[in-house]
Amino acid sequence: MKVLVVDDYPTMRRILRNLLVQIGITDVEEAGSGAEALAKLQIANVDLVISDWNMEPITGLELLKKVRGNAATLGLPFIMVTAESKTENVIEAKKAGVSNYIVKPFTADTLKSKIAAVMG
Amino acid sequence: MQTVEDARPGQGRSAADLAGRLEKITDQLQREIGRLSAMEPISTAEKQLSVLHEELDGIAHLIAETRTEIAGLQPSGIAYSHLTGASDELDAVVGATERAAVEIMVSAERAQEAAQRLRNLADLPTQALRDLDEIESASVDIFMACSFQDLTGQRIRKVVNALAYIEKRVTTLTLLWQAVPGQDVGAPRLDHREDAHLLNGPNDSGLQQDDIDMLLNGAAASTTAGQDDIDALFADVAKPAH
Repeated sequence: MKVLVVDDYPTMRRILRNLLVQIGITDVEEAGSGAEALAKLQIANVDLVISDWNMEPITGLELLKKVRGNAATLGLPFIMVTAESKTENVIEAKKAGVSNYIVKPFTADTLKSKIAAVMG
Repeated sequence: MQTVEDARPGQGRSAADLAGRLEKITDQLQREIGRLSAMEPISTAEKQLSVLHEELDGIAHLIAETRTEIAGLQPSGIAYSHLTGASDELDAVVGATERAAVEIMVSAERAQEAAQRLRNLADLPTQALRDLDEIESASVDIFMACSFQDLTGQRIRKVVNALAYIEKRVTTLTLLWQAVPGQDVGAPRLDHREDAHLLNGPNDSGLQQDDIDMLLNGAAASTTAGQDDIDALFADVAKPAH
């Protein structure tokens, strides 16, 4: 399974990559922005996107909407990992079609269970 | 109108005349007392008006003084020495915590790699395998703990944005005051507040513990949802449609 980790903080990308490796997912792509993520989705055969919310100029929510708006990635599993835990934000993300939502800081077990729930 | 002087008793007047005159004098005195009593509220109102006038004078003086103080401030000085300086220092905090987090993660990765090399050795005793599990589990915990850098970075960035907003408004306000004709602009005011030194922000010796605690303990807003709340929201989401 190939996972695309999208976060403008290199530290967070490194953390996610390491955690993914620890839970057995070694095929990890990284993107430092929404634009880079969209470009990688065009060429890489990604099975799951794990994205931060707070990014500029394309936020995680906007990235999600673009992913859902593209026929090629319409059904791509998309997990939002973010400190944005306001209820209205979660609802907005859900309406936009997010597959699941993880609040920072989180544990490896939480990440593992959410991936399992989304990927089946 | 008959006065008290008019009612003065004269020689050769009868007792009845005197009684009538006394009655008139009494009536006159009562009328005067009544008139004076009627004047009392006017006197109180005048006193209140005087107090109000003094208060207004005080407020006007305070406004003029504050205006002079604001006009004496140097916009560029405020912007750089306090607000911009504070923004730079907060950026430095983000950079320092990021470097620290990376160093911690590199060390954790070295521990993980070493554990993996040991695990590849043959015939390891059971206790050694348990210890390797413990090392790898601790390494994961260390990685997760490093996510503090991302969280504090995001919060600090919000503070920096707020400072930039305040800086812009303060600069606009001070320029407006200084544009008032005839306003005497004094020398820049020195900050004599007891905590003025705190505005200098962190130096090479690092932040004070209280500052760090304040940064790390930002209380979550009541409108935020915990992971359990979010899980409840997603309870009806099994798997996205492909």
